[in-house]
Amino acid sequence: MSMSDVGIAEVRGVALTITPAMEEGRVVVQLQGNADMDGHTLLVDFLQKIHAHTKRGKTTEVVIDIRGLYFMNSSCLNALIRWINNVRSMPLDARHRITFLSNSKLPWQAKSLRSIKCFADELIVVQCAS
Amino acid sequence: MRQLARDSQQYVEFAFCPSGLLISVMRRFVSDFYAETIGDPDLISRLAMVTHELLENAAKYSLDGEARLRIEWTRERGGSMTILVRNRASTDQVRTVRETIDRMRTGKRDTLYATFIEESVTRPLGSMLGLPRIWAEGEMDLSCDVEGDTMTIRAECDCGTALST
Repeated sequence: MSMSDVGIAEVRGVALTITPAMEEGRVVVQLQGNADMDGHTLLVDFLQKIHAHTKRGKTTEVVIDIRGLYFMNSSCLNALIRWINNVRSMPLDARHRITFLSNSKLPWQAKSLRSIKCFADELIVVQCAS
Repeated sequence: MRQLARDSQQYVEFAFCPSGLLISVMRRFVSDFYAETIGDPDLISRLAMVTHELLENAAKYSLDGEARLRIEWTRERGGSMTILVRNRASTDQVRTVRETIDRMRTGKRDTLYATFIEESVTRPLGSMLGLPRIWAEGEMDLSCDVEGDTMTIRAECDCGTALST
């Protein structure tokens, strides 16, 4: 089964591309380009779909790969935090882990991910994958 | 664009009507400029983020859609960088900005930023995270001046030896 089978397809905005994939109970979401004003609505809508999908169960982990994301504004950062808050609000046995793959060559990522991890430390893993 | 070199201070200034696309173009442009002026990649990244957030703020709230961006730097007192964005603003917007900046004087960056983030998830409209992010992740001090209906938000930081020109 692929993500398009569950109604979640790749999204392409002016500067942001969101590519989902499914791998044995894991959902992998690749964010590429720039998440700014023009990408905010796309990201919000996409994360709502991912949350609706994971609420149905069987998802153990969602991986957010931001290695190719050159910039994220505070509105998109907030969209991610709201989604994480929705996951945090699920019953304990229904929650899934959230793993961020980051790029050490983009210094903003370490700072923003530290803030995100502080928000829900028990749910979030950050892997710096160069 | 105007550029003026003086003994103590240099600046560049841009006047434009920022849109989402233009702001991203401007962020990349000033990133190149910062890379020429500053030797520290972390500081360059922080300044680019701060510039972007201030311009988005102006794009969202400017009464006439126009904004001025001014970047000042000086080697005096150990070196510092200041980013200013000026736009016409409503009294509600001025009050919100002032209250947010005043709150920043009441706590430490990390702990208070965590509070701003917690509050942002329950806001019905907007995140109000732009200025706190500039202050916490950008590690810049913020202040605000108002003249008539024109508001100037000023973000500044020490650069140490990072300034190269």
